[in-house]
Amino acid sequence: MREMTGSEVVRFAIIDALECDEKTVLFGLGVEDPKGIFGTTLSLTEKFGLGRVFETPTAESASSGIAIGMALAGLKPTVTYQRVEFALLGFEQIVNQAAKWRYMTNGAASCPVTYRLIIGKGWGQGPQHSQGLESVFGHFPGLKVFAPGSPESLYHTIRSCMVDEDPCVILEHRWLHHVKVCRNVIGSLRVSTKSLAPAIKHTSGGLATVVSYGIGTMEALRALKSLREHAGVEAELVELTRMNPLDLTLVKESLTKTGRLIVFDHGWAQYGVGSEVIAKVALSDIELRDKPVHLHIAPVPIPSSRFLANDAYPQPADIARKMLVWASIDDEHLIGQVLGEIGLNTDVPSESFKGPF
Amino acid sequence: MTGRVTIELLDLYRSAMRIRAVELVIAEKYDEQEMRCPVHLSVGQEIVPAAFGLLFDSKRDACFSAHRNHAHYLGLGGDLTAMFGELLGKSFGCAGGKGGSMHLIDLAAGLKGAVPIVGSSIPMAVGYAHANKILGKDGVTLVFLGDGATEEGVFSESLDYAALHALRVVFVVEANRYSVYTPISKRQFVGRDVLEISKAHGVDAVAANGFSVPTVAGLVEQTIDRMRAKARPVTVRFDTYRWLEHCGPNDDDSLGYRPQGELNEQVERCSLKQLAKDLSGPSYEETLGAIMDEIRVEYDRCKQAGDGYSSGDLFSNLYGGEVS
Repeated sequence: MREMTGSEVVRFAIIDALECDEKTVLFGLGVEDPKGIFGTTLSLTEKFGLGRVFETPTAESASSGIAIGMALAGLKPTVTYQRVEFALLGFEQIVNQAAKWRYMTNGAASCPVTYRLIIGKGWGQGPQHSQGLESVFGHFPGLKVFAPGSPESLYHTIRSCMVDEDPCVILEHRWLHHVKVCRNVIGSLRVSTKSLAPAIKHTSGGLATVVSYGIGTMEALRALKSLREHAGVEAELVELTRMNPLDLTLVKESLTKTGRLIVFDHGWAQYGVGSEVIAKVALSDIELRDKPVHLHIAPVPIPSSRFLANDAYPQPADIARKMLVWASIDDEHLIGQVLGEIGLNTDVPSESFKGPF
Repeated sequence: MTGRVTIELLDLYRSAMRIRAVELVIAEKYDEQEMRCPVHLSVGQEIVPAAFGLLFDSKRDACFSAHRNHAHYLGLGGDLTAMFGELLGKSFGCAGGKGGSMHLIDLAAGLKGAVPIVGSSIPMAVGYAHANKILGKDGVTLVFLGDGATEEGVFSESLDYAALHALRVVFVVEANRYSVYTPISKRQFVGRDVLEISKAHGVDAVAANGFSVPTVAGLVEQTIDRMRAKARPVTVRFDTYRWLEHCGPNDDDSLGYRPQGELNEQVERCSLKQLAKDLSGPSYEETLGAIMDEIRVEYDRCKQAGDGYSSGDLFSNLYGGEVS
């Protein structure tokens, strides 16, 4: 099977967007550099020219507003920040200006800007290089906010946001850049005209509904795979690709079948994505058979030390633990097998990862 | 290259007087409590916006402004009905009543952006100018900012970017001395010079006495001429002075934040009164009164019109298409 990495997937998504809409441009600190934003923008300037793909000064506040001005003049710019936290320097522009522009001009103007924000995790990224902030950006009406959790949704998100008519924020998890994916899968996506779904069901099963987004999706998949293979327990995994506007149709459909909810949340619980999902389910007509489970990041900044940080993140093994209880499986040996294969959190996306960032 | 552009002083007078008349009618009618949004009036600051407006081509040029944008909107030839509609919160406002006084955005007039977060429209103007360059368009982008906005970090970032890409953007600094009630002396180091800051970033810079009508007209002509001929950003700084309070319809001299006598001195040396004399036409008072009468009629018409909203308008135009 010929494989490609998640970062190559992103690069193809960018190429496809740049090719299909000549109004699209991509800029940001590092897009022309030798590392090319984790490989996602390598040689794109050579391919498309300096009028389409270019560097910026180290000026995130201006860059966020410059993108808006470009959009108002007829382009569809995408700005890349190599860590989410740098976008906070331009937060004012994103949430006050881009998010509100169409509404506050009553539709006379729109602001088709995409902010591509990359989330760090592991290898000691620490308190200011590892935040997702999906719920922060997801708070504002007018923004479309995405946190893709699989190579397929990553491709779809990047390509469709870049040509979208509205301002989009993509929380792009760097660990997805390391995921290996079959070339054929991406090949068929590239020629498909299907649009990005706000949620994707990855697995089917009757025991429970697991809801996740971003890198949590891959971790939840690992847990569900082990459960299925070792214990024959099957559950549904729904990946939320779009945080705002939030669409829980698939989640609710699944819950009517399963009646049990686990939210695997790569954010803090308070005012967060997981809490929002649980609140919306609680306010709906769905009656759960068991109390919903919310697995989330501990309420502390993520420390740099892997000995501490690994415990700050939610454990995919905890998804399995809860499901085994629901499935009334108490065979210690079996439980050990299931949990053993899932393993504990580590600070690298794959064994081949050697740092430095 | 286009030929030299000129500003006729009579045109400048008419445009500036219209701005003043509109602002004074707003001040006069504000107590009716029908215009229920913050208004940052431009009385005293009309000459510079009027001069730029006369050389502005709304089909190819673009303008960005901030909270005190009425003069810019009117100077560009903005529609008075759409402006009053916006201030009155009615559906026929230039932004459908969703923006208010601080967002007189009107694409047809060329006012592409107006926002009250100080400094925020500066990078937008730079981005607009960069897009023009990428798209091969030669329009000029103006951005009006106050002396306070030059204190925002994004101003420096934007200067650098504009110079780096050699953009057709004019940073028009209207230095009215006060950021809300805080004088420049409490905000800026005494030697801080926006011209030097601009030049240090590779942006040409020039200043002029904003109270002298011929000086303003001359510098605006020269600026637009140069900008049409060559893509190279420039900062132009004008001294100016706001007669009324930062926000609202009244004189605020009683607050004591301006040195005693400063406001009176400015009102006495009114550039428009002087210009009326120089033009040897009807008196300043006569002209102003006549324009204000016309504007009151339009204001009353707008006030009496229905709001024009229908159900669903609250939620309309949040996103472009149907979002499931």
